[in-house]
Amino acid sequence: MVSTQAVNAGQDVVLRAENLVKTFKKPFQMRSQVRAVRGLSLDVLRGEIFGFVGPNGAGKTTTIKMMMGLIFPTSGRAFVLGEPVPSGAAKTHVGFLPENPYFYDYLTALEFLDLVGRLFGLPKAIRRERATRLLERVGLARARDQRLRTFSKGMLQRLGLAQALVNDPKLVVLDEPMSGLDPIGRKEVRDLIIDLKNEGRTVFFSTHILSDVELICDRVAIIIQGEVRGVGALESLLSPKLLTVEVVSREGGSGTAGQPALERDAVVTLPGDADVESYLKERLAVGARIVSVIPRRESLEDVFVREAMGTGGDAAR
Amino acid sequence: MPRGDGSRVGVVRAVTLAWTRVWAIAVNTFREAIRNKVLYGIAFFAIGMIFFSVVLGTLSVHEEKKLITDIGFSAVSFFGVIMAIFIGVNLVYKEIDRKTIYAIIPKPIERYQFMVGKFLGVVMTLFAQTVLLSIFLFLFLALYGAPLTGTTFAAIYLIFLAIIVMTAVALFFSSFSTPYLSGFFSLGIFILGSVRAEAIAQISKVAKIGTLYDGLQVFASVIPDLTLFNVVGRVQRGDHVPFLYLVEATGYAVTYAAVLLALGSFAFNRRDFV
Repeated sequence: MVSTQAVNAGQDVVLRAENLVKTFKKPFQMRSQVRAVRGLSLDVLRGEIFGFVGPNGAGKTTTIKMMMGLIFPTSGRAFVLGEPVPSGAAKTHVGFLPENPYFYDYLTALEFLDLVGRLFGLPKAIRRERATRLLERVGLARARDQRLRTFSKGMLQRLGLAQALVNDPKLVVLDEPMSGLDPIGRKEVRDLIIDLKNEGRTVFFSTHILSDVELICDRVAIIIQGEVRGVGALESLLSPKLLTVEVVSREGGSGTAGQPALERDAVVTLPGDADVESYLKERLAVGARIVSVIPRRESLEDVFVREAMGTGGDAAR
Repeated sequence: MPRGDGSRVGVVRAVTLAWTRVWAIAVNTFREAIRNKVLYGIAFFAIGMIFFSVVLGTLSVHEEKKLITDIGFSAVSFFGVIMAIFIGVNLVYKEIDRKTIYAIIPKPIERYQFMVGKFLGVVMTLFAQTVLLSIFLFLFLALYGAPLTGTTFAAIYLIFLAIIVMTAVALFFSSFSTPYLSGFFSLGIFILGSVRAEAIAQISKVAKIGTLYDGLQVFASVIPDLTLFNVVGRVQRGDHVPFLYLVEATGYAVTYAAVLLALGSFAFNRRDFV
């Protein structure tokens, strides 16, 4: 198990979860319960991009819903900037994008953002200005007067991002923001998350797409079966030990006039502790050319799989 | 500045903000409802029923006005209640089922404010429908020489109060139950409420049989007395509806709806949106 990294006491905590537990009772089965989240604690620091990683059913969405006041914890507490959740004071600072967002069919994009602005108590002029600017920012300016029932999944996701920013939040919580998006859409969301960090906001997002996490996260929490198995910067979670070295060498004749050379690549994966230098010398001695030497260290996926496989059994929820 | 003034300003600000949120939800609910074509279908069907009453009226001898009045007011009332139940029972369920609520509850709005806003939005929708149907009814009544008196308008006002009560009933059930069950319960309350006065009279006639009698009395007192809101007989006879009666009926409807809304909000407040 990866050890939980202690939070730097000198930095501000924007989002804190303290021993969150959620138990669901199975309908019509009085004594049967499902423990979806089991004593989850974590701190998200000011200005960081925090990845909340776990397989499907690990308890990511349940945890986020507890933090957003959508479900009540069986025990434990959560705080946003020191304010208890759910409270108006905590909610004021948060922008939230739910997983697979869906909004009111018969409203237009502009009307929906106006509704969100009203809930935050923003004056009309600010609501109008922010709605227009945010729709431009997420690429929906031309669809602003279109009813939401005609929106594609990608468009709803973009609108979801826009509504999460209406209140100019200090903390942005995104539940699976890349799910269902094509590669271009995913890149746009990644870029937006980086922009949000550059604007000084804190971003907390859940995902099971590890490449996204490796690309943009400052810190990561791995959740499996409702428990945090590791928290920290990526490099602290990953072992520095060399796992394997992949060597690609090319050998073959030089060819004759009118006949192309028949070359073939040899791909060899050596163990991390192998004598790579000797192997390369051997290959060069037989006339092969070295095409590439790729050392492979532990990836987030390795940690993820190790932690997930280590537990066995079914995921909680 | 005196301390009291400062806190008073704070309270006024908090109330204004709460009302802004309630109103935002109400306007949104109204907008969604009036843009939904299914509801237009029900409204046009109701207009058809009023027209049907006119046709029936022409077939009857010397009973035209009575029949038009009877069926016309019944159509406005019945379709108003059906709409109240239809929209009311789906209100909360649809929000959870389609996950639209996931984007609303994390905003700084209290759950009771959401419920009150939803209720007001439906009431606004049903007010628009009642006005529309009443215009058609009044046109037909005028066409057949039935006078439009204060009682005519009082009857429509009382029908609208019954619709408000039934909206609260439907919303109450939908705060913790499925649309089918909520619809079933609401329709049951509507039927029982429409015969409540008679039922109580019958119970009173029966010799007291202990706990069963007491239980029935309690049950009957919980059911809304919808007969209070039906003065069509007076319209037919041309009787006057006293102003005090309207005040009392309004008080009854508002109190009943407020209690149900508070109970519904209590149930909604404890709900997990899984």
